[in-house]
Amino acid sequence: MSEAPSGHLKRRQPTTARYRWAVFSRTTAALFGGYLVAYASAALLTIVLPMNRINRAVTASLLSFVVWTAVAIWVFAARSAWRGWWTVLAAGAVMLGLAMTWRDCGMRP
Amino acid sequence: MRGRFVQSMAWLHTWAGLIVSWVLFAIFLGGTLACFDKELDYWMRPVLHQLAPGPIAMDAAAATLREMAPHAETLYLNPPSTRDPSIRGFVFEPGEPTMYVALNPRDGTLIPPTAGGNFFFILHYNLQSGTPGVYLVGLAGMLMLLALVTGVIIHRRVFKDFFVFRPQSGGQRAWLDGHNLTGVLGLPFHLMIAYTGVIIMMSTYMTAGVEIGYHGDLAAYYEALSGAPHPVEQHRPPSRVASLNEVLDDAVQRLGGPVQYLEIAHVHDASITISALASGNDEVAGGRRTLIYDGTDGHFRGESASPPAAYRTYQFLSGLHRVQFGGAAIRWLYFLLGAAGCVMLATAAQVWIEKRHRQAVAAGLRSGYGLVRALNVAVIAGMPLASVALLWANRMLPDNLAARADWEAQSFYAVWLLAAIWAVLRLRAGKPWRDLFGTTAALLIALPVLNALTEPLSSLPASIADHDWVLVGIDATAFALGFGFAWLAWFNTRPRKNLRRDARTRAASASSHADRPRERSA
Amino acid sequence: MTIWLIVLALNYVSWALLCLAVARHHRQHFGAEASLRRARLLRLGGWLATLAAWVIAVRWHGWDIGSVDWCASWMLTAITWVLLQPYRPRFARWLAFIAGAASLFALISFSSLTLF
Repeated sequence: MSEAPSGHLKRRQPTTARYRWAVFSRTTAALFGGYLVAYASAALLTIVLPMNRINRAVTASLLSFVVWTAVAIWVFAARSAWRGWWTVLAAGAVMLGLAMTWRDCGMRP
Repeated sequence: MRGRFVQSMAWLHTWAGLIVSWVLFAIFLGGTLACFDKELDYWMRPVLHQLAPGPIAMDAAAATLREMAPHAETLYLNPPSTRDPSIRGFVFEPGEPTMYVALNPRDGTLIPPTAGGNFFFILHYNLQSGTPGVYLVGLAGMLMLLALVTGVIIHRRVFKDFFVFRPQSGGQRAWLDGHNLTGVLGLPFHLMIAYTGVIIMMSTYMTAGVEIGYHGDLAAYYEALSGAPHPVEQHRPPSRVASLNEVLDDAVQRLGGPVQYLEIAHVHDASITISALASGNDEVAGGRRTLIYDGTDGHFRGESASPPAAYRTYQFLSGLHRVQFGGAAIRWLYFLLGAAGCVMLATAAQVWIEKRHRQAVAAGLRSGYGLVRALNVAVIAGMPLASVALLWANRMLPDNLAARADWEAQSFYAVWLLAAIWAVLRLRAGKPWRDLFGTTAALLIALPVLNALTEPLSSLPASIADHDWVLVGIDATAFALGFGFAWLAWFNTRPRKNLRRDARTRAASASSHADRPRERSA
Repeated sequence: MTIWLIVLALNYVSWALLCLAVARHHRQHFGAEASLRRARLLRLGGWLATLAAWVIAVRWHGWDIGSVDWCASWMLTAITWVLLQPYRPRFARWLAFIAGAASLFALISFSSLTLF
C-alpha cells in the first residue's frame, strides 16, 4: 500500500492532534454537509421532476439519501478537509437557493 | 490518484464505522430479534397460550380502548392473525403518548402489558428514546450505508478471494476474514437494510419534499399518499356507531383475504369513518387495497384509489426492510442474515483493536484504546445478555406487579449496565468476554427449564403436544443459541497464543510484500 | 416449505460448484487443478443451479417474494459453504452432493404435479 501523497492525511501518524481534527472535520462534513446537500437536492427535485406532485415529493426524498452517500464519499476523497467543506456548503446553498426561488413551482399538481 | 482515493475511502470506512459500530450493533441485534417480534410477544403473554376457540370480539376490544382513552381521535385495531392471536390496539389521543396494547380476542379485555418482542422493535428504530432516537438511528443508518459503500471500494480484492476464510491464521487476519466473510457475502442484504432502513423514517428527517410540495402541511401530504380524502368534521357526535365485527366480516369477504387493521377515524364525530386495509402479506410492498365504511351504520362506501406509484415504491422498499411478507421461512432467512450482520459489526470492532494492538498495549487501559475495548465487550457481549434477561424477567416477575412491562424493560437496562461495569472491571486482569458470553449461554440453555417451571402449560413438551410451533420454536431456538454462546465463551477462554505469530507474519509480510497485501481498512 | 428447501439446496450446490471452479480451491479439494473444460463445466453448472433456484422461487412465490427468498438464501448458503471450508471441507462437498441429489429428486417427483 503506497503512502498518501503530501497534502492528504497520512494514516501512518494516527496519534497527532492534526489527524484527529481532520477525521472529526471530514466526518462532520460528510454527515451534516451531506445532509444539507441531500435536503437541498430533495427540495430541488420536488420542483423539477417530471411527475405529479405526490410522486415528485416521494421520489425526491428517496433519491436524496443516494445524494447524501455520494457527498460523503466526495468529502473524504477531496484533497483537503477545507476543500470538502466549502464545495459541499456551496453546492447546498446554490441548490437550496434555486429551490427557494422557484418554491411555488413545487406546489403544481 | 487511484491509490489515494482508495486510501481515503479506507479512512471513511474506518472512522464512519468505528464511531457508529456500537450503536449499530445494538440496532442490528434489536432488529434481528424483532424479526420474531410478534412471536416473542406471544411467548411473553401466557394468557394467550390456552385460548379456547371462539368468535373474535372486535367490538368489545374497541369499547375497552374507548374507555382507556376517552378523548382518542383515531383507533387502530388489528384482528388476530396467523402470527398473533391477540387483538392489537393503537390509540392516537391528542396530547397523550401513543398507546399500543394487546387485547384478549375472546372478550376484548386488556391483556396484562409486557415489554414483549415489541421492546426490541422499538429499540431497533429509536433506541427506546422517542423522536431524538429516530434521528440518531437515521444517522447511524447513514453511516452504515457509507461504511458499506466504502467497504466495497476498499475490499475490491476480496471479491476475487471470495471463498477464503482462514480462522487458523489467528489475530487480525482471522478477524478480518470473519468480517469480510459476513460483510461481503451478506452485502446485498446489508446494503438493502441500510438504505431501506434510512428511508423508512424519511418523512421525519427528510422533510424537503413536504416543505416544497405541500408547504409543510403534513396532513395534506398524508392524504395524497393514502389516496382517500380525509372525512370532513361535522362537529356533532355520531348518532350511533357501527359494529366492527360486521365491518370486519364484510371486509374479509370483499377482499377475499385477511385484514391488516381497521382504522376508526374521528371517533367522536358524526363523520366517523372505518377503513379496512388488506393484509397483503403475499406481497413485499404489503396491502394496497383499502375499503372504506361509514362509521355510524357500517355501510360500504367504496375502495380508496390505489397508492401513487412512487409511494408504492416506498412501500416496496420499506416492506423489504420490515419483512411482514412470505411467512416464517423468510423471517428465518432475515434472522440469520441479521445475525451475520451482527458478526460483521462485532468482528469489525475487533479488527480495529487488533490492528492497533501494539499501540493499545503501550497506551494502557486509560486511553481511547481502553475505551474501545471496554465498549466492545460491554455492547457486543452485554446486549445479548440483557436481551435474555428480558425474557427471564418476563417469567420471573410476580404477576400482580404494577407496571410490570416497565419492570421488564428496567431489568434489561439494569443487566446491561451491570454487564458493562463487569466488562470494565475485568478488562485488566480477567476474561470479561468469557464471563458475559458464558452467563448468556447459561441463561439461554436454562430458559426452557424456567419456562416449564413458571408456565407448566406452555412448557416445551406441552407445546409440542399442542402443536404450538411458535412456543416450541422460541424455547428450542433459545436452547440452541445457548450452545452457540457457550462456544463463544469457550473460544474466549483460550490463551492468546496467536499474538506472537501475528507479529511475526506482520514482519514477514512487511519485508517481502509477497503475501496478499494487507487490507487498508481496520 | 419444500420449495424453500429446494431453493436453499440448489443455491448451496451453486456455490459449491462455483468455488470448485476456481483453480486454487479445486486443488485444495482434489489435489490438482481442474482442466479448462472441467472448470468451465463447473462454473456453468454453478450458474445454472442458482438460475434454477431463482426460477423455482419466482414460479412459486411470485417475482417479488420469490426474488427476496432466492437472494437471501443465496447469501446464507455462500456463508455456510465458506464457513465450512477450513473446518469440514469433505463434509461441505458431501452436503453439496446430497443437496443436489435431493433437490433433483424432489423436482422430478413433483414437477408434473404442482411446480409448473
